[in-house]
Amino acid sequence: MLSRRDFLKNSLLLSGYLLVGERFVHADTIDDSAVKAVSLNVTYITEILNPPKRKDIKIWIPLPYTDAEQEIQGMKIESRLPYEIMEDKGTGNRMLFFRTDYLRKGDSITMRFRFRRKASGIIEDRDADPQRYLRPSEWERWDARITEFVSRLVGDERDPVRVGRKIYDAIISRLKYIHEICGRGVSTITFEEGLGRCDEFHALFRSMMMLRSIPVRWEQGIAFPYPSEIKKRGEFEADCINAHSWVRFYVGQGRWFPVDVSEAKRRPDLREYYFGRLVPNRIKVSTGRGLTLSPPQKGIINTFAYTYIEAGGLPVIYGHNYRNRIRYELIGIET
Amino acid sequence: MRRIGIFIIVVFFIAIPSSYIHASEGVGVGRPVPTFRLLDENNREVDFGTLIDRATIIYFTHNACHYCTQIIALLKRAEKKFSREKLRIIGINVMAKDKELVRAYKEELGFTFPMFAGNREDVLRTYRINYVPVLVFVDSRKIVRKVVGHYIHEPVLHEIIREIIEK
Repeated sequence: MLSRRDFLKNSLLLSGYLLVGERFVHADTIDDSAVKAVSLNVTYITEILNPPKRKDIKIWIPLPYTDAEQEIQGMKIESRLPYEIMEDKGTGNRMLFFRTDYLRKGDSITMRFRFRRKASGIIEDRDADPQRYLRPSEWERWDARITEFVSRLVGDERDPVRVGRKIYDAIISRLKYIHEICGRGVSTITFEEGLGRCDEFHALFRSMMMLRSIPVRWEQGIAFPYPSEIKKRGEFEADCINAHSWVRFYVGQGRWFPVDVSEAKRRPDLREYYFGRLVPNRIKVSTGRGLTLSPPQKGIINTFAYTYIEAGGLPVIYGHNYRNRIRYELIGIET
Repeated sequence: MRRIGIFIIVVFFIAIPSSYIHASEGVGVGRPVPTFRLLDENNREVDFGTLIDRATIIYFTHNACHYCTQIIALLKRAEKKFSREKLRIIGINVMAKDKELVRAYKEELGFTFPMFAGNREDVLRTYRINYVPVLVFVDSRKIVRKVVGHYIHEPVLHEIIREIIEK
């Protein structure tokens, strides 16, 4: 027997469903693995909290772009400072670049855009040279312990998907996930300590795959809440805690196979899903690690997920000199 | 109500599983603290072990970590609460390769504690620094008493400081 309250709730849900249509459903009822796309209005804000004391201030902000998995529409940039849109030819990463000698407290740079991300599987990219993705960054070198482990784990297996699966399962079993850290993603330490978040999981995956001569691409972005958890509107910090990475490995004929090992660890119900597919709760903003921005920065960039600022050739301090926030408004979830 | 909340947080972090405690061959609870000669903001090479003459927190941080910046405020308050005579705080910036970044960091944050450039393979490997923040709590006999590799709440920080001061 339905209570009056449940009857009213169900009636409201049913009328909402009928009004909005079957393609857009409420987050409460969502199975994350069944989501085909998520659409959002996104506002990304970099705000100056305390202007850096040094002059010659340079600001780089990753500029998300449309590709096979995501669409960016109506990009608007608001700032009192002049800027240039730059592109790194090597990685294809795009960015906004600002240069000034003087920032004021409360200065801000805002990007507004409409965003649609599709659930992603294997993608075809015949232009990418797989050999390029066999070069480890300085954090992804392997040692004798990793080499021996992979040798025992993989044996004579050569098929990239079967090798990938063995390594995927082994990392999920071996590592513990911890969220509230800013990772360096050093494979050798990750292997020994058995602890980390996305960068540690994926650095180790990349090292182990490259060890077997399987090219792996690093994709970098920011994570939104899962479709099953997302609210109509929300706001969160765009910093190292909400930055998110995942990888794709090469399976031949220009095809790249996605995995999200750390999310498979966090969400055991999605462990099968994340070997070959990605939930559309993310925005890709760059690729690669150990990057040189355009124009080149002085400091070392491990990954490029959010605004990076230098003053006098030195990185300024996140949370003191500046912070980034993302505000979103949910437009729709397609199932 | 607030006291109950604080009590729960303290109990949770004290009871946190050992897997969340950052320990290894190089740095380990109950073992002597590894020390290095590192560059400070004036480009002087200092053996930071010589500074561990009282209960000490060695704080590994870098410029891109929001939680780390928040912890600086907690450390400043802790020093005031427990006094400089009883508690030493040493910062190690794992981004910094030389004096410049250390100096800029200290200037920006008003960081009055000694700080050193820690972007060195031997230091990072010995302390197993794969992420920040990491706080290494050392007693006056230079024995590591606890290693915390995540954000720390103030009541928990104070609880551990009391423990290392009493050792």
